Amino acid sequence: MSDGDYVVEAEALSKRFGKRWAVRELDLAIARGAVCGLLGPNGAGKSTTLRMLLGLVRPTHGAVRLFGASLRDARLHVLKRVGCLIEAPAFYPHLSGRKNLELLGRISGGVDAARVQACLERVGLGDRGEDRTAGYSTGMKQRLGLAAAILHDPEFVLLDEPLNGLDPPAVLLVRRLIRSLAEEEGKTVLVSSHMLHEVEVTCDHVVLLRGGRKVVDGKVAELIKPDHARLELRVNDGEAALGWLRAQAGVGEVEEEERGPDGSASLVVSLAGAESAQLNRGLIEAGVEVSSLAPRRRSLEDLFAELTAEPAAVGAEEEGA
Amino acid sequence: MIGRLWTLYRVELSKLLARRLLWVGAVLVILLALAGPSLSGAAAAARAAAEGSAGGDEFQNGWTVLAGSVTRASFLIWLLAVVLSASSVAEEASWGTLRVICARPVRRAEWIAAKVLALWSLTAAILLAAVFAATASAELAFGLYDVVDPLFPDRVTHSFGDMRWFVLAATGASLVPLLALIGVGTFCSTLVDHPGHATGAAVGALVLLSAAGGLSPGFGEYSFVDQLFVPFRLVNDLANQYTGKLREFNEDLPRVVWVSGLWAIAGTQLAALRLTLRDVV
Repeated sequence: MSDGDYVVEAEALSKRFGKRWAVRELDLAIARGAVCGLLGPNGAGKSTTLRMLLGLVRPTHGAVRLFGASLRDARLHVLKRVGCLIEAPAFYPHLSGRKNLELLGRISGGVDAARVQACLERVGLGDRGEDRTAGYSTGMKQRLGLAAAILHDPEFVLLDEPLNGLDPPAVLLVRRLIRSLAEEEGKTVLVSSHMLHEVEVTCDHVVLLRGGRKVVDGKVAELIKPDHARLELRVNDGEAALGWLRAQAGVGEVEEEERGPDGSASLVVSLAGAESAQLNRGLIEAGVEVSSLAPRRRSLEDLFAELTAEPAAVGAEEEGA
Repeated sequence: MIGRLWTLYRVELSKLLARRLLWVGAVLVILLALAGPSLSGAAAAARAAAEGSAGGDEFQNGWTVLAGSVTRASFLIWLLAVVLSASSVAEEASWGTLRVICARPVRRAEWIAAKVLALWSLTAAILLAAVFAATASAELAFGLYDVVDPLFPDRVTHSFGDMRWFVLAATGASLVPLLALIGVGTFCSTLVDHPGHATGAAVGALVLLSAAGGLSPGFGEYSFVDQLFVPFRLVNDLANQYTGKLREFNEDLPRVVWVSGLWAIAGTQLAALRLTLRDVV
């Protein structure tokens, strides 16, 4: 695989803390220019994975390659091309936001005062750069952390929970920032987040971890594509609709999701041979008004709920267990 | 490597210069050095009162006052160096900036070296300022002349030029135990992620080394803690014309340099090793 195909390649990445495996046998490949979401419940191993990708934590087994080069052998070289915001943003509290960025810029190299100002403005802190970071709110620190992550114009940006502590306008700002990093600047972005909706609208690829193992790895569009075998219906008479649907041979399971005080209801119907048009016609003939009928759309939240509702298979696996 | 180290050194220098503690410490040190003649006078008066004698110290002169002033000011400098070095890495860990720095293209060993060198530069500058302040106040209060035997005033024990050289040599030699102190303090700072605990560990280590040196003079010769105040004690002894002190000065000062130099290298290397091998979580 050449430098140009994948920014991140991890093979059988594992990390054990004491007797507990935080990450186990994780294979990861992130294509250049992708916005990849890393999802998982608490303790799934997201932060440990990000730390291993940055060389902060040494893998117990496995290897990481960034831009085609081994992280262990070419750490300094590849980290020049990486920007990150890991967990809570951290700064020197006695220094101003601008001074913090200037110091980080000196360490990363190639950052001048104009670039610092541009980054501050990009995250909406253009007029607060002279304030000491000790006086920043959580949201301001988060935004300054994002500025620090993109300060040296890295090709690969890692963001760990970038939306934590942000108000709705700031969430929109960050969402736009992430998309523009990928679409306008061609950067690769890896975002770890609990905010599933944000991942759904921001990322084009998602990796779901559970108990330190990868359980889903795919394109968001494919994971949440409409399920034509399941229909969502809105009817004026829930009782009558349920009775009619359950009597049909080509209909599988029928779930009632919501019942209104006027008897109207939202239903989810699994098709087992019947056609949606056929059901629509049949319901109308049975005297039930159908106000909407559409293939069931699966969200990341549904996927996440399904996968995390299953009993833990390898979560917090103990040595020898 | 030199370029990266220079960059990191300048970054660390900027961070330290923004610390209020450093400036407060520097001002206190200089004030203490300037107040040297008054404090020496008070000490001599108290000693005379305790001994029931009427006069002061007949061996007291500008050079003994200078040496005493620098020794007193050095206490504060060592304290400042311990607090700042022992909290240097631990503070970064508690702020979370350790993670930020280690995720950048930085070799951890170089970062430690830059930290040690930056703190050493600033505390060395404070020490030099203290020597300068002590010299100025001793000159104003007593004058700095040839050292003569009070019983034989025509006999010059050490000329002004000799004494000036002793002070310069002692100042230079004092910088090495200071570096050792910072190296050991920085190592303690890599052991725990809480600045207060790290400072406690460093102070504890110094107390243990000092106690070990007290119990075993042989060990004391190879402990940098026992060398901290040696250079200006030797200057004081020379100015006081204790016999044989010139030979001691010529023998002890090089030992201060090499013993402390080894401790400085060991402390810094251990700190670098510890930080390089640990996971930054």
